Amino acid sequence: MPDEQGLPIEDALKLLAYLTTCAELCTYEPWHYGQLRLIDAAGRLSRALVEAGADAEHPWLADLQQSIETRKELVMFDFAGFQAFLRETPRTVAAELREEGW
Amino acid sequence: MSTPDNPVLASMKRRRVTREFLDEPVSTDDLRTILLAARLASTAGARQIRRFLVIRDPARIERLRPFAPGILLGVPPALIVLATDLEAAREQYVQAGEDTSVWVDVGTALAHMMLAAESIGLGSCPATSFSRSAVAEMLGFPRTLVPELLLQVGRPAPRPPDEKRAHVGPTIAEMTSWEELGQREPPAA
Repeated sequence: MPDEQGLPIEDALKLLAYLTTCAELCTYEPWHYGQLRLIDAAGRLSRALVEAGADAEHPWLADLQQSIETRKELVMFDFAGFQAFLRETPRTVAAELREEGW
Repeated sequence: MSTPDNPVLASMKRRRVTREFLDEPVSTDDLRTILLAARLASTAGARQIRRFLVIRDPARIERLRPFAPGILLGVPPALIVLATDLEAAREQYVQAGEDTSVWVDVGTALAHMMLAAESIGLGSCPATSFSRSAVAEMLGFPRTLVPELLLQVGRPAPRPPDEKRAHVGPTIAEMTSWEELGQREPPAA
C-alpha cells in the first residue's frame, strides 16, 4: 500500500531489512562488499521509486536503476571499473537534482 | 588416465558460478542428486552435524532476499540452506564456533554439491553474505540450527561470452612449492 509520498510500504520495509542486514555484514566483509551493498541499496530504492511512479517526475531514476543493475557486477571482475562507477554515480545524481532545481 | 580424459576434472573445468537462471523448476530427483553428493562428502571425524533445507517456493525465497544480499540477481528456482545442527554438534563433542573444521566441512559439502549440479546440467551459486540470525528467524529455525550457506540452484540462463569475465588465476607453479617453500618445481626423481 503506498504512503502519501507514493513509496510502497512493502518496498520500504524490504529496504529496511536489507539495510540492517548490510550493516551487520559490514562487520566482517566491509571492503569489497560494503561498497556493493550500498550501491545495491541505492538501486533497490531507485527501483521502488520507479515502480511507484516517481520516474514520471524524475525520469532519470529509471536510467540510474538500470545503470546500477548492470554495473554493480563489475565488483566481481573489474574492481577498478566498479570504483570508477561509484565515484561517478553521485555526480550523476547531483547533476539530475540540480537540473530539477535543487 | 590423462587429464583430458578425466570426467571429474572435466566437470570441474566446465563448472562456473551461475547467478542468473532460467525460469524453470528444478526437479525433486535433481535436488536429491545434489543432496546425495553432499551426504557423500567427507567430514572431520565422520561427524554428522550438517542439515539441509530445500526451498522451491518463490515467495519463501523472496522473503529471504532482503536478508541475503548474496542472492544478487533475482529469485533462483531452488535454494538449499546448509545448516549446522548445534545440538548434534554438542552430542558429538564438536565445539561449533571454535572448531574451524566445521566450516571446512561446509565447504567440502558445497564443492560436492556444485559439481553434482554441474554434472546434471544445473548451475549453482553459493552465498555466504546473509544475516544468519535473520534468515534463521525467517525460516523458523530453532536457535540450535545455524544457517551457514545458501546455495542457489537452477538451469543457467544463457549469457553472452565476455572475455573480461574469464577467470585468470595463478598457475599451479605460482601457488605451489615442492618439498621446500619457494621451490617451484618438484625435484628430479
